[in-house]
Amino acid sequence: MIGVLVLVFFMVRLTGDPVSLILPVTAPIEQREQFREAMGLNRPLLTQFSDFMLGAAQGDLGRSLRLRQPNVGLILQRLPATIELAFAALLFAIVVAVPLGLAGGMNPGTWMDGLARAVGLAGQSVPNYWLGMLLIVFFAVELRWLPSFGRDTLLSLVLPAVSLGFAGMGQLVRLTRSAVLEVRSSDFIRTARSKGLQRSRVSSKHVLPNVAIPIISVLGIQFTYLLGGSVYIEVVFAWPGLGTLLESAIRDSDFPLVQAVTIFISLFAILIHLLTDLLYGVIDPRLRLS
Amino acid sequence: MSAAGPATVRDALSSGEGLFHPRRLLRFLLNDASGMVGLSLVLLVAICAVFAPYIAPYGPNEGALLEARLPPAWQEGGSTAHLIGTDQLGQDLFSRMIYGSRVSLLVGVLGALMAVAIGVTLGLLAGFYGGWTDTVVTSFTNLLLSIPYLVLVIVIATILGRSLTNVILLFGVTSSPVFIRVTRGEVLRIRRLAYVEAALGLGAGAGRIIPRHILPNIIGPLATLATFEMSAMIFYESGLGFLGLSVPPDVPSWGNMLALGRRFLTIYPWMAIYPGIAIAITTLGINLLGDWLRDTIDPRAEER
Amino acid sequence: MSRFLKRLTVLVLFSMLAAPLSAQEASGELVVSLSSDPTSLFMPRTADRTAANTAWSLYNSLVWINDDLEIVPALATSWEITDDGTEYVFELRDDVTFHNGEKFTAESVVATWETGMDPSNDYANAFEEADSVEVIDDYTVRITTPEPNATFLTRLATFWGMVPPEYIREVGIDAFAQEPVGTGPFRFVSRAAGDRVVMEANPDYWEEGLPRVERLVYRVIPDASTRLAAIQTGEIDIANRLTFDQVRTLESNDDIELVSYLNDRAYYVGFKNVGAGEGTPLEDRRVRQALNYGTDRFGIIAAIFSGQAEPLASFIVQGNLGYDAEMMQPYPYDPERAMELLAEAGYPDGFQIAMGCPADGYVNINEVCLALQRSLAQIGVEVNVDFRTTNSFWSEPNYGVTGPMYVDSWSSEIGEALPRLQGALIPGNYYNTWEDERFADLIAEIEETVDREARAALYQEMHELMTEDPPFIYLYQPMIFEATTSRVKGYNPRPAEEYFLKSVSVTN
Repeated sequence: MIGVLVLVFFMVRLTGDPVSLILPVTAPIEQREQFREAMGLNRPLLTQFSDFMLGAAQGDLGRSLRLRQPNVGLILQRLPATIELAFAALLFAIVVAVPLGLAGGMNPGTWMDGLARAVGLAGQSVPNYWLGMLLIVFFAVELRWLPSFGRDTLLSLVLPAVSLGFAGMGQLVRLTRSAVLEVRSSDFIRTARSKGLQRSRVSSKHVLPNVAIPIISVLGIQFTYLLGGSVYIEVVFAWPGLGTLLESAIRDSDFPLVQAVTIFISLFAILIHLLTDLLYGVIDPRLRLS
Repeated sequence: MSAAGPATVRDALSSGEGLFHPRRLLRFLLNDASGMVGLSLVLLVAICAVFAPYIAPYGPNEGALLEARLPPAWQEGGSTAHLIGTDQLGQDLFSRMIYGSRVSLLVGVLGALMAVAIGVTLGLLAGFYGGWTDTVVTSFTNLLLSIPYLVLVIVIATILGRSLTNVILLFGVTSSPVFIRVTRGEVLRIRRLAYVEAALGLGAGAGRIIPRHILPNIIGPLATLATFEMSAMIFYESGLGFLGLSVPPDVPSWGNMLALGRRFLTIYPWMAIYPGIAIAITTLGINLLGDWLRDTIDPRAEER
Repeated sequence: MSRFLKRLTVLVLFSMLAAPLSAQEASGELVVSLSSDPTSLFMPRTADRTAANTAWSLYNSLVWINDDLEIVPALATSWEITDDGTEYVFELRDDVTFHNGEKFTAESVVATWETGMDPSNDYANAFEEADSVEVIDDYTVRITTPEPNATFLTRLATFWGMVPPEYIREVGIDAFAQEPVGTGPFRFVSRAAGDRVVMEANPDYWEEGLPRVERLVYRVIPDASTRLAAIQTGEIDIANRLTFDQVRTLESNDDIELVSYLNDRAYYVGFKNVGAGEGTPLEDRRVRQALNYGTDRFGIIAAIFSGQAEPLASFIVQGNLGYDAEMMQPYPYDPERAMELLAEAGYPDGFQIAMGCPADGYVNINEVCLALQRSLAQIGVEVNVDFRTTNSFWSEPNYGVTGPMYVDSWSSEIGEALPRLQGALIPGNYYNTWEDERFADLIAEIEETVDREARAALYQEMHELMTEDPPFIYLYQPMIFEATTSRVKGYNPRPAEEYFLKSVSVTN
């Protein structure tokens, strides 16, 4: 984690001079110097760095140069929107992918399976921002069924969530399908079958729990990916989350904010990984021992 | 995917014949429908890239302003001279799409090669010598992996600025950690094998062990991984182009075309639709090929 | 109980008083798109136009600039300027209260000045132009400037949004910016970062019959295509910063009204005679003239802007003080003359030169850079276009990252060319790349000339100088395109993309 802090600190400092981008073009040189002074930007780099590390250790990620507010506050303001979007995307992915993957896996070779495979491939190949654009044209502008931008009602969540969750959906379908295929070919299922258990029973009692484990492990990874992918989707839909915050901070070279958002997202990703590991243990007690 | 293919590959391996014997690989490929589809799509894109000047009816930056914003030929107002229409400078979209495949493939191929090169070198070093070399390499890997990939890529792209070389460098470096991990893990595993330990005990150096025992073992998984990374790079390069962070705006690339098309999304949707399809087809092709490669080389590899 | 009654009576009295005043009741909701999240709602920190436009709904200044770009009374009813032009005495309105109930007095002007000068502010320099602000009595205030300052009143009207002294001193600037309080037509309700700013009509507003809408919602939509989609679906009422290409298809749409006007912004190619420019052919005046002759600005305008821009003759653009259409003709497109001049200067075969371009920094700028390249190639000048992300492009003083030429633009919100002349041509300024004493001296003279007529003449002199010995390739002055839903009435944006919403109304 300290590595991340160091890397991010020095990396973002290379993106350009924030003062020239933040102050109005007409600002005279003296004022730029005063501003630099006021923002602590002309102190030696190492002093800035040690302050940054000390602050970070205490949960203080500095202040935004452009917005003149504590970064943590700015991030927390935007966080709910991003989490809401990521969860909605994940939910969409799960709701479509798991049943489809199950159906495909349980009936290999049928049209259901074909559909599952097609959806899986489509999800992997279609750029999410492009999909978002098409959805806007079709559902918002042509049909006027759904809002085209922003975070207003629950309806405005639909298009961004579908675009963002599409890739995850593809991956989940593939995963579920292959997990089902694998479990079905394993010995205990064959035994259960041969003992005359009903098909539906076999699937609910034996297949599902075993399929759940790989799915959950991928959900953790998915969530991290969604946090990154949301930059594009948030830009397309003017969604007021961390993605748009990061994008504008990068454009303005507001580096305290860039580093704060990057660090925060990284931390968040690590946290999610830990959570997934915990969840594993709950679902599969065998893993708890190891 | 097909159950028969993998087994024969295993047989081939155990019989001592090279896995990458072209005739063999081709035979397996021809037996697999989705692999074939993948191959044809990739070939299609590759042909477009190599022979762009012959296929494309116009130059990529050639345009008559009177013919700006023409819709596709089959729509009202469209012209057969411009199959899928023109952009706001009157440049032929079809031609730009053909040329765009060059950027995508260059980024994908060179980026993946670079990532493999960095990954294998560092992975071998870390795995073979251990000690502080290993510590340094491992922490570098973990560092890059702990920042969400897209965020990392966007931030670095901003620093580097817009050029093809920078984009390739960017993807080469940021994608190297997976290759480092795989190589290092494989080296550690192989080192522990009895015959390698024996060879080491007999005084065989890295120069002998690596090409003889290690490389042949990792080349399969790396090739599969590289294929998937390649499609990911093409995918993300267009994403960067979309955000205005990839190659310079005058270079015809699918990402740049999408970024431009987005400005006219609700009024001239065709400007954005076709580059998106090109990206989707290319990644689809490479992914299909990658699936096939994985199933063939390593049937037990899990879905990622 | 009695206190409650008292309050009730006050309320009733108030509403009785208010009723006849507001002949037109403020009603309805207006949804306006913003192309970026406002950096701040505290005037001295509104670094960009979008933020300033939004914030001005909350404030008033002592003086105001009306739609005809004249200076008119606002919170000051009248003012006098001493003969030496350095002392201003303002008589203030005595019937104005801030949204939080504080009274507006001379002390507010002092507080505005003091807090405005804080070095953390973007426009601290707009407040440093005053030496002192003294209270003479509750409703009289004296402001002194170190030198006569031609644009001081304009600066007052542009940056000095009056703030309530007690409140801002109590909470500090940062907290104030979070919950701003002014005397303006609207009062602050809430803000969701990156999403929206909500305001409501100020029922006690001092200008009769204003504002006209009850609720004002600003939605942040950074992307022009998203704004376009949102106006088509009616989710927003005003969409600004669109391009002609985007709006031309809306012409047939009955639910949408198009708004267009000439922007007070000059696009140009800058030359350097310092840094990377030293020792290049650009030092020769004939070369710079040749480049101006060899630039097909008319072709660029016709092709890239569908004719929706004006060719630029100098930095004094249409609508500016001193502009004279007859006198200020742009360089004609004359490649032959250009090649002659190049040959005279000793470059019969042209030369190679690098030109920086802020990729995606402005509407169509990438295309303009490429068109310039093609155009100059015709006269033998081979331009290497160096596309830069906007971050790196503007991040070094004097465009340090780019070669001897670069493309940029400069706007002005005061109806005069002064800010862009100062910014681009006064040596030592952050974005100055062309040092020439004659320019600098003339600009200094304009700064100190308070008389408008005299100033206009000086601008014309400036134009002559800038054409004869051009420090830039002059490109174009663009049209701005916006769209409103047809229920919006009274929306009147100004040449510098300023708009004020107090007199805008909506029908249902």
